[in-house]
Parts: sequence; structure tokens; C-alpha cells
Amino acid sequence: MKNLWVSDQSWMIRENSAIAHIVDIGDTFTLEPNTASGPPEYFSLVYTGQYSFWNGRIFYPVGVNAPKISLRSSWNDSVSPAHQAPGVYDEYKTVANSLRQHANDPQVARLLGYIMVDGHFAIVNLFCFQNAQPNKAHWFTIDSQWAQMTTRQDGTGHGDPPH
Amino acid sequence: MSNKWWSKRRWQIRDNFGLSDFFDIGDSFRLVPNTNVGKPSFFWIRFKNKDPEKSKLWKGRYFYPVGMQSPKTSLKHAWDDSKAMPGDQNKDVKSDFDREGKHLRGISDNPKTARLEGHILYDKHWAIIRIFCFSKAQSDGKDWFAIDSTYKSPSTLQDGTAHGDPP
Repeated sequence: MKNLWVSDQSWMIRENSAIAHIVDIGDTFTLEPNTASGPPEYFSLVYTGQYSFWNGRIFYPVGVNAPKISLRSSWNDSVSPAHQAPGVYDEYKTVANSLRQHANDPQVARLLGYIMVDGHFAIVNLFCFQNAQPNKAHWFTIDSQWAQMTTRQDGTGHGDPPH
Repeated sequence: MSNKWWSKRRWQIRDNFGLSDFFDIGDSFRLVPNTNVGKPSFFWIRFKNKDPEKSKLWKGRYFYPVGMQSPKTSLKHAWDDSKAMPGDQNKDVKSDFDREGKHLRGISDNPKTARLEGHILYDKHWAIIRIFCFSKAQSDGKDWFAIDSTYKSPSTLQDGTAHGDPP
């Protein structure tokens, strides 16, 4: 996750059903590396959308083992999550949930940061995948863990670069 | 903060003001690297708490070395480990260590500041924990650490900096 390619483009939220109070579909962010020479130590998140608590938050590349995913379908960016081709929405949800299972494993490579939501921290994990979709579009998931014993703002959204 | 010297010893809490729900004075911990080959990617924290409920907070938790600029300390005194309570320290000593803890807390949000960073679940929410370890920082040549928690905004509940040194 130390590769600079994650900062080469902006990323757009395509699905947010589990974390709808912290990102909207269509919001974008970029990850600005602290340095352009050598592997970055951290990235500053630059966000476009209504939730200003994202702006300037710091994400560190952590972990050692890059997670593997396999997407059989490409997300259709021109339609909403509910209007994806049959099976696509579920496929992406399954892959996102499988990544969520790894979000607390310290060995798993990801970008890790914190945001403050309603007076408490949410732990945010970003997983970025290069050319992950059959159409070669990159893909990311954004996983938030806000509180125990509640599903509020707990879940995974995902997206890919805007066109 | 990727050096391993501080994983070779146990660290003991000497002052837990503000963080008494997380650990007691006299509790201790070790930082166990994920690997003994090369630079560790993270450290497991192995806390030895007198209170089993506090022990649960630390079970299975880990800390990543982040940042790249090691903070400097300027302690003028040495903590007297033979005195049980922080309030028993010489007044100048206590204020010296409090000042240093406050200084570290002030720079803990700077992403460049080198530290160990992790999070624990307390009362259903996350506390962000930062550990700063210093070699030979005290005037008697002893190592020293500070452990900082940020839990909630704007409350001060379990928000603050505790510290200690090797037993």
C-alpha cells in the first residue's frame, strides 16, 4: 500500500449504503502523499462533499500482506447501485464484506486513519486495488468502524476513479 | 520509532492521571515485534494489569510505528520509582514530567511525529493511543515513555497522557 499510484487520481464513492452519514455517492477524495520522492510515510486526504471531517485527515500505509480480490463484473458508473446488472451489486458487497473481515488484522496491508464523527472516532481502513475490475478500472473500499454493538456508521462503501 | 530497543524491556506505569480507566500505577507492558527479522511492521502490546477488566482493553491490540521525526525530550529530573504515588514526587519532578507529557500530547497529532499508534475499544468507542519511547531520557540515564489517549470530543474522559519507565 506504499505505492504512489493510489495518489495518481481521485476516487469517487459509488456505493454508500452502510456508511451513508459519512459519505455520499458521488463524493470524491484524493490521497496526497507527504513526499513525491520515495515511498510516502502517509497521505493527507482531500475530500469533496458535505462531510468536512474528512478533510486533511491522515492515512498511514500499514500492514504487510496485500489482500487479494477477484471481481468478475465491472461496476457501471452511469447507474445507481440499485440499477446495476443482476448480481453485480451483490458481488461487490460480498468482496467489500470480505475485506471488512480483514480490517482488524494487523498484517493486512491498507491505509489506516481516523475521523471524528459525533464526538467519537471512527477507524477508517482504505483498500485500493489497481485494475481490479474486468474493464481495468481501479477500485477501492472504504471501511468504517465507529462503535461496538451498533451498526451505526459501521460498514463498507466502495468506488473507483471518476471519469 | 521502528527501532527495536524498546521492545527488549518491560515498561511500567508510574503516573496514570487522566487514564485511570485504562491501567493502574504499577501495571506494565511489553511491545512484541511482529517479526525478529528486519524492521518490525507492528508491535503487539502485552499488558499486565492488576485489574482484569482493564486487561481486556489491551488484549490482542497492536501498534504501528508511524511518523518519521523523533520527538525530543528535555527532562531535567529523574522520576523516583521508590515513591508509590506521583503526588509523593518532589514538586519540581512532577511538574517536569507533566510538562513533558503535555508537550508530547501537543505534537501527537502531527503526522510527522514518530510514535507508536494504535486504538483500543473503551465503553463501546475507540480511543486513539500513542506511545512515545525515549532512550536514557531521565537525568539518571533511565529510559522513559509516555502513553497518550484521545477518546472523545469535546469531553476529557480518558483523554490525557500517562508515563512510566522500566521496572
